[in-house]
Formats: sequence, structure tokens, C-alpha cells
Amino acid sequence: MGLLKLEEVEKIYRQGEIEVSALGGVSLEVEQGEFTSVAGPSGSGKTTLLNMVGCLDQPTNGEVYLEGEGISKLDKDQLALLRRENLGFIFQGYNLIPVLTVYENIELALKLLADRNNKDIKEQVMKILTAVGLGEMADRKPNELSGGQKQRVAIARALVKEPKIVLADEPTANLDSKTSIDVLEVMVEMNQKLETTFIFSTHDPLVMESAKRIIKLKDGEIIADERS
Amino acid sequence: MGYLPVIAVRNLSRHKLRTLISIIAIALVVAIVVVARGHIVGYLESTYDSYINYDTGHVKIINQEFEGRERLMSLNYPVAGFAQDGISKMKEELAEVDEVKYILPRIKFGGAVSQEDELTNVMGWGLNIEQEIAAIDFDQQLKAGRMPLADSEEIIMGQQLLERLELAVGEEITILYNTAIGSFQGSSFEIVGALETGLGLIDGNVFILDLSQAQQMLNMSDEATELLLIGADRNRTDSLVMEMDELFGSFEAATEYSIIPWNAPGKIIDYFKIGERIYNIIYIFFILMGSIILINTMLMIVRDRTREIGVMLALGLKSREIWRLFLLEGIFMGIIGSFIGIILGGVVTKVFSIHGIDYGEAMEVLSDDLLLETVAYTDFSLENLIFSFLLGVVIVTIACIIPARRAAELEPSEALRD
Amino acid sequence: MFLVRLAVRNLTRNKKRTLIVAMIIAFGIVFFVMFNSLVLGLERSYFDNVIDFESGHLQLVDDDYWPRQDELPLHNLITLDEQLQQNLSQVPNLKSYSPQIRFSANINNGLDELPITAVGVDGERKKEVFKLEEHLIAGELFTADQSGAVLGSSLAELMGFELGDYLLLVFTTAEGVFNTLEVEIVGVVNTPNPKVNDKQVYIPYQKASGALNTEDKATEIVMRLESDTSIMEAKEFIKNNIVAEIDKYAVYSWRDSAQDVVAMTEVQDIENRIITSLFLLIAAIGIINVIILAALERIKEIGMMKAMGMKEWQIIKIFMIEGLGIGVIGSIIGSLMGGVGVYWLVNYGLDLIEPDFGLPVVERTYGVWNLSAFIFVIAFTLIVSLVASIFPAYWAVCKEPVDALGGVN
Repeated sequence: MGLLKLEEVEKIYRQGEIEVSALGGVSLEVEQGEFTSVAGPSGSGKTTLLNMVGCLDQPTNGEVYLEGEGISKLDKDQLALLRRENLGFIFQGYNLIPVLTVYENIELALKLLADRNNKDIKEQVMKILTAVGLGEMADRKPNELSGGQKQRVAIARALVKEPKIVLADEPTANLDSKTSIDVLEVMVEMNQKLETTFIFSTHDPLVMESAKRIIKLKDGEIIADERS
Repeated sequence: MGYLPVIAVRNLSRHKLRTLISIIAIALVVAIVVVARGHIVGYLESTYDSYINYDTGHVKIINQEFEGRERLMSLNYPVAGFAQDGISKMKEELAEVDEVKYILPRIKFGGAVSQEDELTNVMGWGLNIEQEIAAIDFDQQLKAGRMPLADSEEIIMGQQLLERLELAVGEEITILYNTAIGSFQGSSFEIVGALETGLGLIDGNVFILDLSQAQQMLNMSDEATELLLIGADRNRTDSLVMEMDELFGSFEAATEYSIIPWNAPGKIIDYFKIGERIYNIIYIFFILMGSIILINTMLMIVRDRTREIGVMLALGLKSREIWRLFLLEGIFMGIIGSFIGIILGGVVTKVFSIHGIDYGEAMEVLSDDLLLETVAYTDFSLENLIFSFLLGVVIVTIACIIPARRAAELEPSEALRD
Repeated sequence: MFLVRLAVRNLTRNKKRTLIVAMIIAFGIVFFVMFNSLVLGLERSYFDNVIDFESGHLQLVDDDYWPRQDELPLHNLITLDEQLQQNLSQVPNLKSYSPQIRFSANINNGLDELPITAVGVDGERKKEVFKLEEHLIAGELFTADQSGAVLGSSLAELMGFELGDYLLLVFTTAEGVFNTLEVEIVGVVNTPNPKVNDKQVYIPYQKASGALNTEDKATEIVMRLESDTSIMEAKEFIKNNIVAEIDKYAVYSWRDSAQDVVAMTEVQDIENRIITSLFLLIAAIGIINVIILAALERIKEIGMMKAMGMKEWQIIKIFMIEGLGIGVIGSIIGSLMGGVGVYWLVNYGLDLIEPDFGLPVVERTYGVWNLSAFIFVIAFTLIVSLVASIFPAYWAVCKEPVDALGGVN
């Protein structure tokens, strides 16, 4: 069995009396180390799919298996524990915690994990910061950084705990093309070095080009699943 | 889990004005509580002291038939020992009791001063001067002169009474009275001191003489009209009463005397106690109103930071931790606000604890019949500051549960969509 | 009008927040009007007690007697001669008058003695001036030529007296000679005035006068008018016609006799104002807070309004109307709740003083309707809410959208 498996996943949102189906029976498997892009127009269910995979939400019908374990039977706190151990997130709007420094933002992800001593944490944080090329910026606050730098911090935060899967929701949407390439290179490098599984949602052709697998969504259903 | 407090503290400075107003609101209500409570407690404490010192003791022992008729100041219902064998012996027995610290026999009787064609009613208190000084620092109330000597024909008088009689310390006075056997007598005394307690009832009506002198002239040898007991602490009166009940129960004459604690139900002090409790509810109410302002702010903060909460949830923080994070932020505001509040309130109470608030004429209606001081000094005490601080922090904390729960109830996918 | 409509809509955007702050205001108002009603009620019963049992509406006394009256001296008395009677009969709106002589005495039941105030009164006239007769619980008032004593119920109980018993009064005469008087108890009264119940004994005027050797003189002449609205007029008349002739006489109204009570209710009134001000101060902070929060939320909207060409003062006005709106809502809720509270006080009253605390009142205290208290507190509330909203409204308008976002994401 693979790292991640979706089986007939359906998601229905209720808005008052109206039921909106965001995902209509999606099945999918992702292997360790894949660099996958989920593409599709807005409203096609990209974010919903990523929420399911990221254990931020549970499917209405069907099941998501992470390393063979179904998630629908887990409660809120168990899901939180699952996320802190196994999943890293990168958002379009960076979403760093503004009151924490670059260092502390990354440190937070590690501190949430049990049994780490401070020395290990420091070493790990500095290593990942150097890896994303921000070794010098450790003590800055997020608002003193450029967009590209912020997104690198976000990548570092997602990767520092060496999660099984990193989910990135439109990671380059707010960046210019040069910075996008920069950020993308960092991710590709990490994917190769650490064998971390990456799943994106994106519109950006640049991102799609670097992906090894592209899943296309439309109206909540997979219309194409191509590997290059 | 050291990072939650760090984030909470730093969050405070994110929107300084918003934080500041909430803190001001808390500071204001806490300051109000400090001052109001300082005022009430100060006044009640001094009233309790007045009553304990001059009326009730911690426990008052009187003849049962005299109960409810103290106003008569009659000498016909004395305290005269367990077997009518005198209070000296009774005092010995009482002194054996652990809880009893001081035993103060008193004789309160009515008298009159005749000057030319005018008769002024006065109240005589026969006291064991030495013991009264030891128990209630009675000599502290002297305004001029000295205390009367034992077995002497010396008295001290309330300052207002002296003024009314147009007399001064050092002069002689003749006081008319009825003895216990009903004979009408007059005695001359030398006024050796003037008394100023701040209590109109005493300062304007009372003269004080030595107990044995009073016993002798009133035909009440080894008797008193009342016996006050003072224990180590007025809060231990219950155990004092219990021991008294036991002691009196072991004598035949137990039924002859009433044992009345200072806070007995139906007495004025009991009503003050009820008042104190009502005020405590009012304090809480005031702090709740301040907390409402804080809740408003916190709810907006939660709305503002919905996305951030989503990120934290994605990072793997549990709802409980989100809840704690916001609660902490509220508690910090509560702590800072309460601290500023007790400083502000502390300054005000300090000022009024020195200068006092003069109710003057307004209290005169009451001070003829009650032991109330006309100048109210606020109670400036660490206890009051700590009480108010804790009350502020605790209520703010409880209030912050509402917005913190709102934050913790957010679903991660919804919070991130915001 | 558009601005008002906008402000009203804005208030409904966050109904809970608006309502919560309005509730603080409402509490302040409820507290004020109820406290005020109770103080006025207490005051009215104090005053009724003073008028009905102690001083009547007006008193004619010797000017030297007045300041020393608490000591109950027997000099500087007043003589009710033909001339004075004639003059008094011309006082406008006078219902009745009565001379009385108050003196200090000890009451004796053969066992115990207690200092009290004895009052020599003309039984017939007394009925018209004071409301003793309505409060008789046993026996009757004595008539002018009768002998007998009427005393307060709690005094009777304390001394163990019953109707028909003889009480002994011990006192000194005007010359300072001891004298006693033995009188049969013909009536017992239980009045709302504790002073009367606890320490007064009424005896016939002639009898008192004889025993005291005061030659028919009175310590004061108490007067009751047809209504209490004509007091000033009657007082003026007496001043101009009686006091003008006999210089050492003076006329005082019941209000002068009740100075200490007036002082007490004034203090209560000040206390009420302070507490209410504190409520409104908290409410003011609440309003400031709400407007700042609203401005922060709407910072983009404000920018847009500016872009649309709305002037700054118009935006300030919107926020001020919102602040005022909270005040209005609070006032409405507060007045309604306060109205119910006052209604309850007026109709059911409050058992304020169970034990005898020396207050000149013993009955249940009932509230009094006082429209001016409502008007005063509402006006005050509206001013406070308007003032409280100026500063944050001004602040909101001067804020550029960028600084207003508060913390950068």
C-alpha cells in the first residue's frame, strides 16, 4: 500500500438549504517522494482535495488513508497530532505568525513534537534556514522580509520536521516569476534530498512544468492524471 | 509548552490602542473596586471595632432578663457570679477557658448632672481601667488629662459632654444617680481627663469611673451589669461561644445568663455583615462590566486572526492549545489592567485613609443611637489590594472563556478559507 | 438623513456588541432611577414623620431657644397671649396650631428609670396638628381638661406599662427644683416615627405647665397648614406680622427642624450620582471601544467612502451617530427596566430597616416616581455617549488604511 490513498472521496458543503458538492468521488494514490501538482480552474475542488489530504477536513463519504490508516474515525485532537507529525503546509499568503521571528516560526513546528531537546532543535532550524538560503535572517520578523523570503521561511517551516507529505496551496501565486523559480528550485531540491512527497495546487505553468505528475480536476472530479 | 505565553504576550502589542482600551477598562473597574471596598471595609471595620470595644465585646454576658432592655441601664439585672457569689469567682472560672483573653466587667448606669436650673442626663460607665487599657487600648482615646485611678473619686468625660456642661479637665462635678437598691444619691468627682472616641454616643453622653468605685457607690459589690469577653481574634468567636456554653452549662445558674456573640443574628452588626455580602456582589458586577469591553475586543481579535488560527491548526496545534493561547492573552490584559487598577485605587485609598471622608451632619441622625463615626477612613491594606487584584484577574479570566472558545471552535479548513 | 440611516445600519452589523454596551448604559440608568426613587421615598417618609409628629409645618419659637432646643431647656419660652392668638388666626391657610412644652424627664415604673422627652400638649389641638390619633393602638388621646398620659408603644413595652397603669415622671422645674408627676396611662401609640415610640410621653398641657411652673408658657407653637405648598407664604406672613412685632420670636419650617435628615439625603444623593457616573464612565469606555473596533473593521470602507468623495466630518458624523445610537438604545432599555423597577418600589416597597437603626422611619420604604431623574440621567447618558464617540471617530478618520490593519500578515 502506498503513502497516501483516497478512495471515492466525496465532500458536500451545506450552505443553508443548499448542498454544494465540492468533490464527487475522487480516488487517488500517491507514492513516497512524488512531486505532484493538482491543477484546475478555481472552484474545481483543488483546495478541498488538499484539505482532505492535509487532514484539515474529513470527507463526507469515502476514506482517506495515510500509510494505510483511515482518517475518518479520528477526532479533532488526533487529526491535530497527525498533522504535526506527518504533514507540512505552504500557503499562498505565506501565513507566518507575525509576532514570531523567522527562527521562532520554524522552531514552533519542532517544539510541537515531543522529545526533542533544545540543542537539537537549534541545530535543525539553522540547518534548514541555511538550506533555504536565509541563514542570516533568523532574527527578523516576517514583516521585514520580502515575499520570496517569506515563502522560503514557510517552506523551511513545513520541511523542518521532515514530514511525510508537504502540501502547498498555490505557493507561487503571490510571487513574481523570478522569485517563483527560486522558491520552486528550493522545493525541488528538498524533494530530491529528503525524498519528501510534495503535492501542490496551482495555476502556474512554471510549477506544473517541474512536477513529475499532474492531476487535473474539473467540477470536483479527476479528468486527467499524467506522469512525465 | 513555553511558546503559547510568548505568542500571547507578543500578540498584546500587535494593536496597542485596542489593547490599551481594554486594559484601561479593567484598570478602571478594579480601581473602583479597590476604592469602594476600601471605603466600605474601612467603615465597617471601624464600626465593628467600636461595637466590640464599647458595646458587645467578642461575647457579652448579661442577665437574661436584661436582654433587650439594655436601654434601661437598669441595675436590677446584674451579673453576679455563677451562684450569686460575685464576679471575682466567675472571672477566675472564665480565665481558665482557653479562648478567653480578656474579661471586662462593666457597669453602665444612668445619671444626671444638675447645674443651676438645668438637668443633663449622662451615662456612667464603671470600668476596670487597667484591664480596659490592656484589652482595647482605652487610654488611646484620651484627648486630655489622664485615666482615673483605681478606687478614687476621679472620672473622665466625653469631650462633647464637657463642652455641653461648660466644664473642663481639673474641675469638680456632682452627679446624681439611683443606686441598685433604689436610693437617690449624689457624688462629687474630679474630672481628670477628656475622652474623644469619634463616636457621638460616647463623646456626648458618657463619663467613666473606676469599676470598684462604681460598685461601691451603687451598692453593687462584686457585681456588674455586663461582662465582656475578648478572645484572640473576633473570627474565632464561634469557638469562644461554644466554650462558654460548655462552661455555663456545667453550672446550675446557666439559664440565668445570656451569652451573646458580637455578630449575633438580629443585631446591627449582623445587618452590616449582610451589607458586606451585597457589596461583594456589586464589586463582581462592576468588574463584569469592564470585562464586557474586553470580551468585545477579544471577539474582534479572534475574527481578525481567523486565518492565523487556521495556520496554527494546520501546524498541528490542538483546539485546546488555541483556546489556551487566547485565554492567556485575555489573562495578561486582566493582569496588567488589574495591576494598574490597584495602583490607582491604592493611591486614592491611601489619601482617604489619611484624610478621611467627613460625613459630618449627615451622620448626626444616626450617631445619637448608634456607635458610628462621622469621619470615614478608607482601609488601605495589602489585603484589599490583593483581593481586588485577584477578583479582577479571576473574573476577566472567566469572561475570556467566551472569546477563547469561539477561537477554539474554528474548523481548520474554514479558518484557512477566511 | 442618509448618514443617520448608514449609522443605524452599521449598528445592526454587530448586534451583540452594540447591545452589550447598551446594557452597561441601561444598568447605570436603572441603578440611578431606582436609587433616586428610594432616596426620595425615604426622604418623604422622614419628612412626613417630622411634619406629622415632631415639628408640624411651621414652628414659632424664641430665637434663643431654637439653637439649644436639643437640650430641652425651660427658659426662653413663648407666651400664647390674646394678641398672639389673634395674629395666628390670620395666618393664611392655617389649619390648626397648638402650643406645646417639651421637657426632659425620667420615666419611672417603680423599678427602673429611663430618661425620655415629655411633651405637654393640648389634647384637642394636638389632634389637628399631629397625626397621633390615627396611630393609637390602645386607649384614646386625653382632652384639654383631662388628666392622663399617652406614650409610645415600644417605651410602654420596655417599661412594662399597660393601659390604666400609673407612670411616674421625675423632672426639674423651671427653677431647678425636683418635682414628680404621677399620671394614668390613657393611650398607647405606635407611629412610624421611632422617636415617638421609643422616648416620648405626652401629658396635658395645663398639667405640665403647672408641674413645671412655667406659667402657661410654651417651648414652641406648632402649626399645621392646609397643604404643604403654602408654607413659604405662611412663613412670610408670620415673619411680617408676628415676628416683626415681637422681635425675639422666630419662625421655622419643618425643613429647618429636619436639617440632619436633609444633610443625610443630600449625601445619599451625591453617592447616587458618583456611582451612576462610574457606570457611565465604564459605558463611555465601552462606546470608545466599540467605535474603535468598528473603525478598524471598516477601515477599507472608510477609505472607499473617502475615495467616493465623502468629507471627513461626514464620516466622523456617522461614527458619532453610532455612538449616540448606542446611548439611545441603552437609554430606552434602561428607562424601561428602570420604570419597572421604580414601579415595583412604589407599589411594593423595600424592607430596608428591619431593626431599629435610629433612622427616623420604621415602616417599609416605598419609592417615589420622579420624572426629572429619568430626564436627567438620559440627558447625561446621551451627552456622555456623544462625547465618548468624538475621539475615536476622529481617530478613525485620520487613520490611513495601511496602519489600521494592525499587524502585517
